[in-house]
Amino acid sequence: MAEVVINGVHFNVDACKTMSEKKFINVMDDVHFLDKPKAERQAILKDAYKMIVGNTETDKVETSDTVDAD
Amino acid sequence: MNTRNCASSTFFSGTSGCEIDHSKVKAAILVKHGFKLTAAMIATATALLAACHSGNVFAIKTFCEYAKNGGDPNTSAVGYGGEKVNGYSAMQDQFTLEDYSEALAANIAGLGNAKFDVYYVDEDNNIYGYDDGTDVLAGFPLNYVSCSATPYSSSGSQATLVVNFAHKDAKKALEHANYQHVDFDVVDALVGLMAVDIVKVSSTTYKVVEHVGGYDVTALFGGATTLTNVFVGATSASYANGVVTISTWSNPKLGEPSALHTAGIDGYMWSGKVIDRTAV
Repeated sequence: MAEVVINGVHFNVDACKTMSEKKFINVMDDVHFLDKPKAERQAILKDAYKMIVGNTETDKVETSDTVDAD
Repeated sequence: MNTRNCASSTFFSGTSGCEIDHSKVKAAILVKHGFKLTAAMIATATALLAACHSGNVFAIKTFCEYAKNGGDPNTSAVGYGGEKVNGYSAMQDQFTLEDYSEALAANIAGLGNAKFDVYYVDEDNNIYGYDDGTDVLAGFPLNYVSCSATPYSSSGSQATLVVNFAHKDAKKALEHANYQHVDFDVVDALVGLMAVDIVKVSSTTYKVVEHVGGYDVTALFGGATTLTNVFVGATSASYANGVVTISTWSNPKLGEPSALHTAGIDGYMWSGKVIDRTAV
């Protein structure tokens, strides 16, 4: 099963791809990256969603730092 | 008229030019009846460890004592004639484990008459089994596996667990016994599986605990290389502060032992139980 890992959060690619970006952020917002302010959290999730939706060839992507919001 | 050869007149009474030193049996490898350990499975410790998570291979270790029960020739005499062998009595191999385990006792007791074959492993990495006429050593066919438990320590002795392996055919087990040597520490490579439960702590956080005794192994599971292959069906998962946080998990279940092994978790399988402690 394909998985994308961002800052220790493992995202199930197949399950996440079934969601719209808005739903994805709504589902994840109050669950992961809770040590960050809400705006930063949502920016991370927005980038994560793009990475997941675009992730068709690589099973796993590790990032060591916070995904840059912009 | 057809002629026939006398099979019973062939008797190889020699011994090997290089007899092995029969050292102590330290472990048993149970396999589903008819399943065999192939050359690939016992080629390396890594391959054997993977086989232990395949669902067909069940390791029991570590033994510290052996006793044989039965397996002796039955003889009888007719009239004034001398005694003759007319068979062998049923045979059990009885191994005592170094440590008592409630979990193992419970699982063995639950086996009933389930059919398994068994290989034994000694401390010199010899694997003993049954020569079924093929190139691949089979396990000794068993009628059942049971346990004799002394679950509590007394003033003079500790709790003990004896595992009984009842041979399907004592004579054949002796007649067709064979062994093969491998070049790695087999006993060390063997892993038995322990059942674990999923515990729902809050709406989005979970723990994993051993089914018997409740030992918390969440940190081990949280360190898996691929969390969504371990927490099957989870949309996302992360581990911190002793709990696994999952966004949505409508039908909580853990991956098969092989998937857990691939993700770096050895020796566990899901019991099928989810405990909801959100109200506690």
